[in-house]
Amino acid sequence: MDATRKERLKAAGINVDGALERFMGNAGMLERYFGRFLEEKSYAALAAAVAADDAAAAAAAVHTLKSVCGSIGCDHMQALALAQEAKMRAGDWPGAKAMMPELQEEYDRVCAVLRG
Amino acid sequence: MQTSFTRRQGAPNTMLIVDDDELNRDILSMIFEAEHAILQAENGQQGLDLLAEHEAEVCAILLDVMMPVMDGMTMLEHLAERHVPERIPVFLITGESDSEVIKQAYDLGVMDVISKPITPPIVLRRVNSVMELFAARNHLADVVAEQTEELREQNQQLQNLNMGMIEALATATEFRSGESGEHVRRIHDITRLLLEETPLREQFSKEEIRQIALAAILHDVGKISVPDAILNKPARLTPEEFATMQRHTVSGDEMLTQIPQLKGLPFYDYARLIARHHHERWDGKGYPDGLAGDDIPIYAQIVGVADVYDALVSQRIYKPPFEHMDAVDMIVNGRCGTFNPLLMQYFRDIAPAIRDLYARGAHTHTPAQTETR
Repeated sequence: MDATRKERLKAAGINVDGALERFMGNAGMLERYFGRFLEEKSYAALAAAVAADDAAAAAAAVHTLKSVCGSIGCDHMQALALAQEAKMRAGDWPGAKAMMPELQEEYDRVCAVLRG
Repeated sequence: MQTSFTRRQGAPNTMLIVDDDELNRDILSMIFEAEHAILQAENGQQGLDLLAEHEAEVCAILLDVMMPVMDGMTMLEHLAERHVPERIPVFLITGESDSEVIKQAYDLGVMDVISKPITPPIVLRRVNSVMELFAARNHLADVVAEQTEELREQNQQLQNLNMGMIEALATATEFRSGESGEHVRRIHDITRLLLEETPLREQFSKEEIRQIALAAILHDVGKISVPDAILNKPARLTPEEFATMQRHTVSGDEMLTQIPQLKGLPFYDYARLIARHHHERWDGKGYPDGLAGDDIPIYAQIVGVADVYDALVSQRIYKPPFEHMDAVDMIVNGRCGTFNPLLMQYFRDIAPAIRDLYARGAHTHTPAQTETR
């Protein structure tokens, strides 16, 4: 991870320093997990579950998504996932469902930043 | 990474990490792999399976809450049921923010709850502090166990020494009366037979019977205070000499009272009462206190019977030996003083066992005379 990439990720709101601390300074490992995030299925599972009105599957998927985002420093995405999980737990399924466009937009943005 | 404590040789050193997310497992492994072996499980069920296989090696369990197949709280319930969290520290590493769940986890025995996303140096510190605590506690428990064992051995040695001293004292008394020391051994055995092989056993525990039988061997310890000239006089004693002879009961009681070290021993009270009252008789015609009936402690009555039987079947300086059945008849018929009728019934019942006891052991042989002392 060169300085330019690091700055670009930071500028895009990725908490690189926090993530690096978590990976004990191992930038190579962090990059590997950025790569895995792009292939990771929890967002796809969440979108599918919400589309199918499967609340239980959606709750499990958003929980995983939240955890992964938090670990790799995608703080805003993590906050959105946390908010959606809270709505699901509170039984506010319509409210949780209504958050999907916002989650989709942030997911696409994060993926683009990580790929770039 | 450096940790703050040194592991004791042979202590368990494997971290069990239970998390469905590979990323989390990898980060946690990375934190601990420099100092620990790592086991990874993807859910609670796998975690339990791995633990069953490796329980002796596991030094800590890091547990996620939300997992498929079996979640962390269910695994924790299984662990709590088997008291695992008391032996192995369990940490909840979780994105869970529900305080009810966290409270429940503490109730089930987790040592700490660490929230995700984790910060490695903090996880390391918190987990290591608790592991250090457990290691110190286990070490302390080992030390206490070792010391307890040492104390137990020392206590056993002291008990053996006590027994040896008591037997030496009893044997010394016997030798002064020109007997071999076998007498006290037989009194011990008859007393135990009467207590163990008859309904009398219902009144005493096994340990009490052991202590009473031991106390019995000191019944004549007061004879140490009787002058040789009277103790070993090869002729009938004068009334005055006989009175001195009878003093051995009270002397025995007093002697035992004056050995402060004996007071703490469990047989002390038995020994005193037996020494003092083993010549009392059921009808109150015995000595030194003329106690009658149940006022005479039952163990003193038992030793009284054993003592008379042994005197009758042995050759003594003052009389020839009697045959076993003659001796039993003499005792039961009150020829040597009146005994408790119930005790006589028990005595007759176990008479064959007593005869067998003598058939196995050696008799003493000293010049004959007649008289009962």
